[in-house]
Formats: sequence, structure tokens, C-alpha cells
Amino acid sequence: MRYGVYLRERLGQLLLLTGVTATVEIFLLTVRAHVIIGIYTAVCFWGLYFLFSYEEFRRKKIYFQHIMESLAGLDKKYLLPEMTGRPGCQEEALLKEILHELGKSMGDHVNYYKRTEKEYKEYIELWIHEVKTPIAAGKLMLENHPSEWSEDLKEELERIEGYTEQALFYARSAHVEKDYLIRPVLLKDLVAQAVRKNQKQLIAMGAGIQMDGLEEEVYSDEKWLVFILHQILSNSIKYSDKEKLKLTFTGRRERERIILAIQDNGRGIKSSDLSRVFEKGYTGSRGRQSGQATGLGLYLSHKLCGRLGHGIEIDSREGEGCVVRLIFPRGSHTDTVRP
Amino acid sequence: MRKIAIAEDDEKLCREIGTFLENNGYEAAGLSKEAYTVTGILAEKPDLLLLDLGLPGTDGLYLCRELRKASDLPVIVITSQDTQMAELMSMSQGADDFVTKPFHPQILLAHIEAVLKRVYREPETCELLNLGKFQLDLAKGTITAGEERAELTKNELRILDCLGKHRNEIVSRDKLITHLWDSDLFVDDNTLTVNVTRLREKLKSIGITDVIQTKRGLGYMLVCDMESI
Repeated sequence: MRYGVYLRERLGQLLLLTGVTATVEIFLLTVRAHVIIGIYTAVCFWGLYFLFSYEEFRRKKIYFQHIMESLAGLDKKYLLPEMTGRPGCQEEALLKEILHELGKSMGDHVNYYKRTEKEYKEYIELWIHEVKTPIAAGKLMLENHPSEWSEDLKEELERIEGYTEQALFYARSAHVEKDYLIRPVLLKDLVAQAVRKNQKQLIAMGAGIQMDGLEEEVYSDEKWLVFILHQILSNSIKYSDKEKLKLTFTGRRERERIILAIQDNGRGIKSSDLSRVFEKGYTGSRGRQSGQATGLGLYLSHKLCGRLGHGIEIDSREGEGCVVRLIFPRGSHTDTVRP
Repeated sequence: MRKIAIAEDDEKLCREIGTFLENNGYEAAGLSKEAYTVTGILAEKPDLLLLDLGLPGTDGLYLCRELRKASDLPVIVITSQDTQMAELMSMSQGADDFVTKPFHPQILLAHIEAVLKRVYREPETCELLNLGKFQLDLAKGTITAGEERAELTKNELRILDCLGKHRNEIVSRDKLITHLWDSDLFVDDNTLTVNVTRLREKLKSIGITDVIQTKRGLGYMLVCDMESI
């Protein structure tokens, strides 16, 4: 706040004061008063005005400066009304009340959406748990009453299961902290579980699977990690040239980390697409061609890896397949704290 | 024959689990809604209980805890709650194992077998498979014909096990591969061919020939002349 600007905004007061001073001076002239009295009166008028107006200006300036400082220091700006302190005059009291009302109304608004989102998330989770029972029943029916379509239907059920699981993990991905359990897990077990989830499709394609150095143990949540691997495998299946898919899983221990590399010999990813594969809804030119891509698999994997504290990298050359690397940081101290 | 009680409120799933278990050599008893109590379960005198957590009128975890107070009946929890928390809760309430829906039928069977084996310590005699001219010892991983003996690798053992269980039937290559994959042996088509060839050689080394036939385009068949024993 600048005093100059403050005065300019009170131009009316200044004009009024000039008018009053002029009238008084003319009156003093007509009664032939001494010049000193004239000057004294004018100085008194203007002096008093500036004194009071400056004082008012200073008070306001301090008040707003205080507010601005609190605002800058606040992480959540909407908490400002709580920070303005006791109002010094009725204007400040009014302003505080306005801010308060504003915040409250916004809060209600936000809460409404929070509640809707939570309800929706709960519904999705419930729905997914419900749908698992019919899927399980369907699988058993196919096992119990084999027909010529059994194997194909099993494959379809496996796909439905995969998509259902993706939806569940998507709904949960915002609040991973709530249901995960970090435990030491063997890479071999993880890979076996993920492979088994895609078993029907992989066998039908005559896929070859190689495992190397998977005796390493990493600290992670088994469920989440199997899900991530499942997404990566699904991609390899989707973008393979049907015949002779080869998957290679390699575990490697480095100084402060363990790396799990998943390599396929599929169509690979264009280098122009490579930097964007972790974006939500990004399907790349390949995905758009096949129409199968949802653009969620790698996005979710990336997000979940972030939450679990793992790294994920992707490398590919078009036509030569691609390799996804999961990186598990391993502080040297983890070995010492182990029971 | 082991009897397995099923506490699952989805009628179709309950029925199908029952049929599946019966097809695989168990006696199954689907419990009615009224029988979701400790006395109701024990009245069936089962050897194992498959317990769904989301039962109407009661809580699976509660039932599991109450059951533990009254009996040592092994319990496998089946649930669609796939969080590790749910697993932890079930195990801490005394469940012996935990399978999440939608389970792979063979996986459920493997879990049941493992729990039964652990709890009742069944004698290992059933591990010897008689295949006509020779025997397969699943526990030791060997084949014997009279005095002759040969050791099998893991892959060969699983292949012979699968063929032996479906003797005199054609087993498709895909089915064999699936069987191997179920035991974490992720072999591909070529490896299967190589393994079958090696298996034939081993059988030949103990004097058995022509028992594994190749049915072009269909798969393999193990011919056992059970009469000849």
C-alpha cells in the first residue's frame, strides 16, 4: 500500500477540504483578518487532515501487511480466517466474517465431492468383490463340465478377471498406504504368480519363459507387485507377434539395489512414444491400431511403484521388443536389521 | 475318503465347488444357511472346512475363532477380500490357509491337499503310481521295473505323473504344459518335446519301450496294459 495512491482514492475528501479552506479564506479576507490568521487556519485544516488520514492509512497498511504475511506463510490458504486474529474495528470484523463464510461454503462444496468420490470408490470395491464370486463359480463350472469351448471360455474369464483386478487397483491406488504390508518376498515367487495369472493366454501362444537369477529377495507388498508384473506381462502379450513370444525374467543384484528385468521379443515401442508410456490414457500408435489398449496398465504400474518406493524404467527399440526394469532400492542396512 | 464341508452362501459356487471336489476324489457337503454355526459345522463331521468370510447372519472370522475353541478342524478361508490384511486376520483367527476368489480350481485343490497332508499326515503309500509294466514313485522321483531303476528330473516326473493319471487317454500338449506350469515349471513346446524324448530314453534304459505314444496333432498317450500285471 502506498500513501499517494491512498490519497488519490480520497480525491473527494481533498476537493471538499480545498473548498472549505477556500470559503474560510474568502470569509477571512472579507472581514479583513490578519494574513497570519489566514495562513494559520489553512495550515491547521490541512495539517489535521493529513495527520488523521496518515494515521488511518498506517493502521490499514499494518493490518493488510499482517494478512499478506500470514497468507504467504500458510500451506493451506483457506485457513486464513483462523489466522487474522481479533478484529480491531468493525470493517475488519466484517471482512473476517466474509472470509469465514466463504471458506465454509467452499468447504461444504469440497466435502460434497469428497463424499461422492468416497462413496463411488466404496461402491467400486464392493462391486469388484461381488463379481469375483460369479467369476469363481464360472471357472469351476468350466472345470466340472468340460466342453469344446471350455478352454476358450477359461481364457476369456481370465481376461475378465484381469480387467476387474485393474479396476480394483485403480480405485485403491490413491490410498495405497492403507492396505499394504511390506515383507521380504522372493522374486521367483512373484514372477511365478504373475505368469500363472496369464497362463491360459501364454500357453495358447506357445510362449517360452526363461528365468535367471530370481533367488533374490526384495522388500515389497506381494499383492501390489504381482499386480504390477501382471500389467507388464499383459502388455507383452498384447504387443507380441502372436507366434513364439519369448519372455525373459532376470534378477540382478547391484550395490544398493536389486533389479528385476522383464524382457519380451514383441513389436516394441516407437522411440517417440517411449517417453509418454507412463502417462494416463496414453496408448501410443500401436495401442490405437489394435484398439485393445486402455492406457492404464503402465500408468498404474508407475504410480504404484512410486508409492511402494520402487523404480520403474522402460526401454525399447521398435521391432525388437522391450524391456521393463523394476528397481528395488536396497540399503546395506536392511541386511543388518533383518531378524 | 476325506469329507470337506463348504460354508459358502452363493449357492451356485457352493454347488460347483462340491461337484469339483467330488470329481477329484473327495466327499463334499455344502452347508445350508442355518448350519453356519460351530455345532452345525461339526455335526457334518468333516475333515476340512472351506469357509467364506462374507456369510449372511454371521461373520466368517468370528465363526473361525469359535470353531478353534471347540475343535482342531482344519479351515481354509475363501474370500474375495484380497488384501494382505484380510489374510493376516484370517490366519490370526486360526485359519490354516487362505485362498482368494476367483481362485484357479487346481490351485484350490492343491491348497486342500497340502492342508490335509499336513494335518492328517497321510502315509506316503499313495505316492506310488502303478503303470502296468513299471511303477512311478512320486516322492522319490524314480521309475522302477523289476530290479531296474531310473531317476527322473522334475519336468519328466510331472509329465509322467500327468500321463499316468490319464492313462490310456490322449493328453494334449497344452494340457501337459498347463500341468507343468501349475508346478512352477514354465516350459515351452520345444522343451516338452525334448523332455518326452528323454523320458522315453529313460524308460528304455529300464527295459520299457513304446509306452508313450505320439498322437500327431493331438498329444501323447501313455499305454498301460493293466491286465498284464
